[in-house]
Amino acid sequence: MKFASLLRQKKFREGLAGYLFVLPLLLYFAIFVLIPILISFYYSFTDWTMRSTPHFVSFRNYAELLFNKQKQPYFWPSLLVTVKYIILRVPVGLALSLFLALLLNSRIRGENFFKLCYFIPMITSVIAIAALWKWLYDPVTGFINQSLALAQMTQHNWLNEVGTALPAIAAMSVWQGAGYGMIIFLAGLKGIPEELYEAARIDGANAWQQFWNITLPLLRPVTFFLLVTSIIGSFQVFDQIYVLTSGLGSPEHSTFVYILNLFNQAFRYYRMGLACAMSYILFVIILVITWIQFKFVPQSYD
Amino acid sequence: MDRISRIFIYLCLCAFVLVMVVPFIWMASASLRQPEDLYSHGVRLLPTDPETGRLSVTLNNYREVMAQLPFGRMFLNSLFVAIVATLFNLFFNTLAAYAFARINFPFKEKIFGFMLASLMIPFYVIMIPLVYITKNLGMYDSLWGLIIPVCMSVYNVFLIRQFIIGIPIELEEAATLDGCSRFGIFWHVIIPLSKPVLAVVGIFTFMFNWNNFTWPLVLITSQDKFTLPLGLGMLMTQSGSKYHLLLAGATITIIPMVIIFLIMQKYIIKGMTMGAVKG
Repeated sequence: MKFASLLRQKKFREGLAGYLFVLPLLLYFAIFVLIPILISFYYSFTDWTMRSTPHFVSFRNYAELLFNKQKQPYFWPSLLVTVKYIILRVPVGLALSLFLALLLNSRIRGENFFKLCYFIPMITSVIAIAALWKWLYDPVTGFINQSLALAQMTQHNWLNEVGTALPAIAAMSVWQGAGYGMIIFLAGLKGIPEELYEAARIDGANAWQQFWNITLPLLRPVTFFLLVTSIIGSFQVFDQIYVLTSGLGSPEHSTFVYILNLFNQAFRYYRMGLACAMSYILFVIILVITWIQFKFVPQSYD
Repeated sequence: MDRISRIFIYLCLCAFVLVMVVPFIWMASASLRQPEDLYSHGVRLLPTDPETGRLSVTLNNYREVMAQLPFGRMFLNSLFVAIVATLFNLFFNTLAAYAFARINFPFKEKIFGFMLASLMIPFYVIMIPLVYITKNLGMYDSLWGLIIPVCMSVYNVFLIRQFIIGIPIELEEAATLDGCSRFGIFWHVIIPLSKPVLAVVGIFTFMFNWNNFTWPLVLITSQDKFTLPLGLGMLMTQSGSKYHLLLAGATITIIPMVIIFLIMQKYIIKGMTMGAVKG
């Protein structure tokens, strides 16, 4: 009876309808987002293997990762490799994207055709891209070494030399990701009022001065957005390195990035608790990067 | 702009077209060449015979790769997973987005804010428990296990909600006066009007699921449940440098997405900037 009278109230009916509409999402969120976050956090303090009952070990996983060089010889090196990858991947990627966006923003015909072409690597599976580039990088039959041979330049066994493997994979990712950054930069460029350039021209500024004093400063929010998202993305690079090195991060761990280490701890050695600890360390690193963005970067994107 | 710099810009643009597109043509062409030719000669734009220069095409590489792994089955698996996950996402995300945009219910803002905050958490934090939960729900090594844990997305709810807020409320009021229920409004007014954003969300969800590698890698063990990227990845880690197989497999994986892209390009390009510049 009480429920029936409640149902007659408009406000209650509205609230009920609202909850019914979001109920599937709430359930989904609880089961596949919230509980996993909590489980992961709890298990990072246990010796869980997914098969055994977990025992609480307090901070031992974290301590082992951070301080025990005998048991975890690759934790710090894998962080270093990841940072190297970011340094190789992000600045070049941003510069290439900006360059493409500037070319496209010069009121040329066929803008859409060019956009389309630059986008194709972006939408394709990174595994297929890795297969294609593995062939291009092949020391004997690959396009890259054959071109170098023609030009009589030094050839490399790109994916199997300590010095070249990581840059080779980074180059592949730059190639694949250029279209995304380009489209974001382009949106930023279209938002810069034409009058600014007109005023600068009247003042006698040349193209380079216009770029340096108008375009770049006004693109700052977009640039920082791309910088942070691509640093966060590159920090989690995994798929292409896994398939190109058979999960080993070879040669000599020179491509052994952070997530590959995490993946191996979990699914090769079944140290789930330790891997959960690694995932929370990753989370803290990403939080810090995001915090730096919010702290030091202008927030308006309009 | 003067003529010389215009020519320079076009030259650069065309050079990048070559850099971005030609590797795919090499790949497709190589997958149609005889393996001996592929391994003794380098890349070629068209699958021609090295001596006579005539077109010479073979499907042997495709036959061989399909004998190694069930690529036909994998293709259907990928299609099933991507389509079902996309439909689930479109329906349930829009349902929730509509409520967050238009219905007043207790704790609405708090719930929404809390969910948005969860977007900061990287996938790898939840990956391991997700395997465990999916296992306990009886979906380990199954196609549903690839679908259900990604059947909704807070990020997509956010995008759709932003769009629905922009729809004039008068349309809904008119529908209410005509005796439409809440769900009736959602189904007959909101969904048709949200088509632009749903197209974007749909295509991106499809693309994400079609290309996803990490999640199938940790969840799927039997070959008849493989998706295309997973099968291709296995081929790469196991049969190393058999490029005639890898390139045929990669071509099968890439072509459907490229076709969809060419049809839906408008929405893809729009979707890329949607979350970024306005977010």
